[in-house]
Amino acid sequence: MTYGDGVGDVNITALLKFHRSHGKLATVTAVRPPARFGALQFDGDRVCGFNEKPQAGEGWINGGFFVFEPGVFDYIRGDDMPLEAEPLMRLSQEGQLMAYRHEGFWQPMDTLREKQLLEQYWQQGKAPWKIWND
Amino acid sequence: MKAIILAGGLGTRLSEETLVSPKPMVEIGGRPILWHIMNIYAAHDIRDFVIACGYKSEIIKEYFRSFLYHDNDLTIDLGRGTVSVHENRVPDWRVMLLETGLHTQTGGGKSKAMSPGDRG
Repeated sequence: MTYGDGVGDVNITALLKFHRSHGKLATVTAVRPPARFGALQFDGDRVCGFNEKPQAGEGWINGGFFVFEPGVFDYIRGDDMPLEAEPLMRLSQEGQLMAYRHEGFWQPMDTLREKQLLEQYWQQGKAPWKIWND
Repeated sequence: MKAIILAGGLGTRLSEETLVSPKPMVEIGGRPILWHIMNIYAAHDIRDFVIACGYKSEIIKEYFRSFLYHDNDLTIDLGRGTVSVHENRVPDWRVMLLETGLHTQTGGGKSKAMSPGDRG
């Protein structure tokens, strides 16, 4: 299961293998949020790296691309409950939520700016999430 | 195994784009982001999809209903009322489109989309 507004080169085969290996009810794909700003690297005061935007390092967030066992169904009551609120919180409290760490590309499309960024990748033929052949 | 894609969000921060279409239908390279996401799954041999629709679900349904027509060259005989597709380039996906309601963002969309016995 995933959200209909984010792409990434998530290795779903490896994600499923990980999920089957731990035997818990749920797996979430953990990602590092893309950095908003390019980073400078220093050697003393000298700039030795003028970076493009890296996949940043400010902690891990929910990147979608979940794997759920049918038992997760029992955690969801009613149509108005956001998955992130109670069900995933309870699963984590009960030790039933594992994280598959995805180190590669991941990008949500929450803003027009992010849409334009994804468009730019695609037009340049450099879309990292395009893991399929035409 | 089914891949459930939550496609019911309003996408208010993308309002310039989403006034006319639901967020998963916002295009990258002329294709909805939803299509991109489905291709990521299909690249890993998951081709059975459940799309949990909400806001402007009819646009998503219409897109898949006429998928064949979007992707191929057509000859339309107006007199006879026939449409013929020149070359069939359609992925072997099975796409279930569910109405999960306007405000059903995540949990409910999933509970409706996931019947016991399914893994998604």
